[in-house]
Amino acid sequence: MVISSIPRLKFTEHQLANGLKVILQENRRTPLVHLSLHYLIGSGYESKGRSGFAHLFEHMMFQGSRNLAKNEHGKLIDSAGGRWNASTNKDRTNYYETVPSHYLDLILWLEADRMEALNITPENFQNQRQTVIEEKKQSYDNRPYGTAFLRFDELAYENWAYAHSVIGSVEDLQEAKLEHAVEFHRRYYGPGNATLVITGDIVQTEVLDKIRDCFEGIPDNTNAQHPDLDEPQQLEEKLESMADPLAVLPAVIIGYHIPPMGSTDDYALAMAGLVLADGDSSRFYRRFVYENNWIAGLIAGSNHYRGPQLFRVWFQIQQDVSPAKILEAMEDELDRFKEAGITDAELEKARNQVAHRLVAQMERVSHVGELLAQYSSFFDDPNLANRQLERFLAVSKEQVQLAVQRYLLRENRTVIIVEPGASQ
Amino acid sequence: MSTQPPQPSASRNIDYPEIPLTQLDNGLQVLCVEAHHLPRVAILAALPVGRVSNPNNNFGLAQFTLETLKEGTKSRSSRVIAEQLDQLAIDFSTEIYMEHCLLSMTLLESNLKAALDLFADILLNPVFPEHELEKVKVRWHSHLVSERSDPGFLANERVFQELFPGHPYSRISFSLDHLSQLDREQAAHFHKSRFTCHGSLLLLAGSIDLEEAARQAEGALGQWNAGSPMELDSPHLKPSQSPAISLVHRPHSVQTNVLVGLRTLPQNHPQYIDLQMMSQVLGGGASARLFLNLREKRGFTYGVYSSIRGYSQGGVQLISCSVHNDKTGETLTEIYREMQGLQDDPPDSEELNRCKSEIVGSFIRGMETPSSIGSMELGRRMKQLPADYYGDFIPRVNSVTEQDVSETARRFLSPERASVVVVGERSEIEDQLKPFGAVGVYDTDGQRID
Repeated sequence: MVISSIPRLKFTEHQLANGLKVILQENRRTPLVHLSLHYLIGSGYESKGRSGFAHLFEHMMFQGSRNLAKNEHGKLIDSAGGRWNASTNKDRTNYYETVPSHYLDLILWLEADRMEALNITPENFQNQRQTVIEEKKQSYDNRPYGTAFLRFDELAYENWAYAHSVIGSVEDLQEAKLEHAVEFHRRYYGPGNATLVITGDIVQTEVLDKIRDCFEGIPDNTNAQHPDLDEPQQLEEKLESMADPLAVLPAVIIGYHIPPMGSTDDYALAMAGLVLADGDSSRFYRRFVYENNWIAGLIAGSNHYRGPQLFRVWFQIQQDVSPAKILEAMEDELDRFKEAGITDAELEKARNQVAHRLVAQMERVSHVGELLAQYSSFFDDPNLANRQLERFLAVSKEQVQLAVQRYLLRENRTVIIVEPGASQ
Repeated sequence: MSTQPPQPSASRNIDYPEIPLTQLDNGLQVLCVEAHHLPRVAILAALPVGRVSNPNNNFGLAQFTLETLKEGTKSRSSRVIAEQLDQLAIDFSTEIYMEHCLLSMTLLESNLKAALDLFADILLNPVFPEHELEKVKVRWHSHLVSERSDPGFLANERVFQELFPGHPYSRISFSLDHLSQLDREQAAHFHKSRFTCHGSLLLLAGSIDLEEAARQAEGALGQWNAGSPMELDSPHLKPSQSPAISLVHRPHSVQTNVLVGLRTLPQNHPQYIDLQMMSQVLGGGASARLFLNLREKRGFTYGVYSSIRGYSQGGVQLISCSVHNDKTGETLTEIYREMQGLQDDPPDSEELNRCKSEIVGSFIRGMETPSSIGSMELGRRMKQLPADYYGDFIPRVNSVTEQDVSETARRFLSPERASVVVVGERSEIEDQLKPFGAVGVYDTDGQRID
């Protein structure tokens, strides 16, 4: 495979006097422009009793600002034929829009407007609290295995920062106060805690002036307290079983503590994940599906956290197969991996898969924008987007084997077994 | 910074591209969407085989045949195919729709020849090995059982049964009974008779031109059996049954899925665009009437949307949301109110222009990648939509008037025409439904229990 033929992203980096980081990437193929604005604030920043607040606050960003009434923000982008949304995870909250390129001025103005000030009424705050509670039910409580997924990080992590869920508890959401939102906006939603990325049909030199016009006048009053994410070393396996009345098949979720995103071992473990569980020729698929037909579903890989991560494996199990058998066979596969490592062909296969995925990521301006924003806001180095391939290619067979030997250990894992049926 | 949102600058035109086509000696039509900015190619094949192609005694055969093509060919075992796909980093997938199916591969351009050989082998030479099919059937058994735990699936299954009684359109899945009857002979026979190049299309998208696409296609698929025209054995639609409320009892549900279905027009109908606009005004996104009412005003739900789908004989409009159990009745009242409201209160020009922009914007985003353009073009041809369907799409969207929307709403959107399905915990929601009419109760296996 001609890996050197994979194109590199050309972009420019800037910083405004108020601290706002700006990245511009020109791609004029389609008359579309994407804006991605990342704030370094996620559920990992929440204190006890305030779970779910970062995400609830994300909803508030659409509820009225200095110059716009509730829902006007989205309506203006819809009227431009754009797509917009936002998401919150443990580490960051992102806001994004993809619009026909002649509406670039509009989306810059809109993001600056709500960065500068919000204007939320108690009614709107209460309305979005209810909406988020329904979101929690739709995404977790009313879905098979949803409760187990919410429980998993609670069990695996000792540090509250990552142990509690992004969606939060209903009790904490009920206690959330509008005045907290005002303080939250001041502390986290300013230029000094944000990265703005514009990709697509732009002329870089013109865009920078427009960005200055919109954002330079916003003072930076942020005072982000970045959380201590340190996680004590786990010394023995944690295991729980739960009954799920909405599930019809058993499942087992396993998570191993691994280092943060972007570390050398993170890349080695990503390669291990490809060999173990990616594609129908992967080791787990061969053993659990082709040879034995024990499982109905399989996913494996890291959970992509900026801080201490988990390498997670999820098996949905056939009705008459016991979870214990799955765990035993997985241990057996990992033992083989630790002892003999991977083959040259497996390494080559993993490299090809990585290369193809990196190229696929470059197809849409929105994907490129999110990628640059993430590397810039997490690591202050958007060029990591271009260095990903070399980081992956630098991983040797031995490093993959060593990473598995070091991290995918029984005492380092958390297991939740889900059995269908109502709890006793 | 101004206190008013800025106006747009001059827009850049975007045209749906000319997609050149050629024909191989065996009749296979080959198309190409050429774009060389990334070293990537997609291979897409569309065949006129869909869920409607299933025989009456087995609603799973078309899907089973399609999905087991990769379980072994005359020269490659299932394991060898899996190994080669992964080694070449090829994403391979198959998808069955109501009236056609799609096979696709995406890959780095340097692997094109090897990928196309593999693609052709899978498509032309499957042998459906008994031992592999038995394993697939075990996995499908789990899949069919577990889709019944998904409230969205249960709602859709019920609503299609209500909207298209006795017609192949009514079946979005199939039973365990049909699964158990599927075997090698049926798949092989179905493949031989239906997976021919007559009426099929091959499209290559990405870093390749038509000439090269045709040359490579001739090498790989030149021997594909031309076959003969196959009439789709699809009975004419019967009227939908008298409207009623169907309640699918899903024990332990902590939320209720509400799905309102209406029969509409086939996609090739000239007024389909009016329907699309009407659906957009009602529930096309977060600025639409349903969303502003049920979520932003009342907080009943995380989201509520209306969408339409068109087939050759007819179409559907679906309005769906997941709501707080206690708000099930009020939700239906509000959905009906908005349906009625659109008949009495047409959109003003601002609302209509927003909806036009939303539809056009989504169309433009659909043209961002060569493979997404390719999928649009194959869908257009398989659905026998006019040649200028996309080329003329933006002007057609912009020509819809306020009056078109309200007339369409009056024709299609009356609550009396609706099939309503509610999925949830019966004990918490049944009483709320009674004011809306007779309630038929089903279990999660789709059996009427009350």
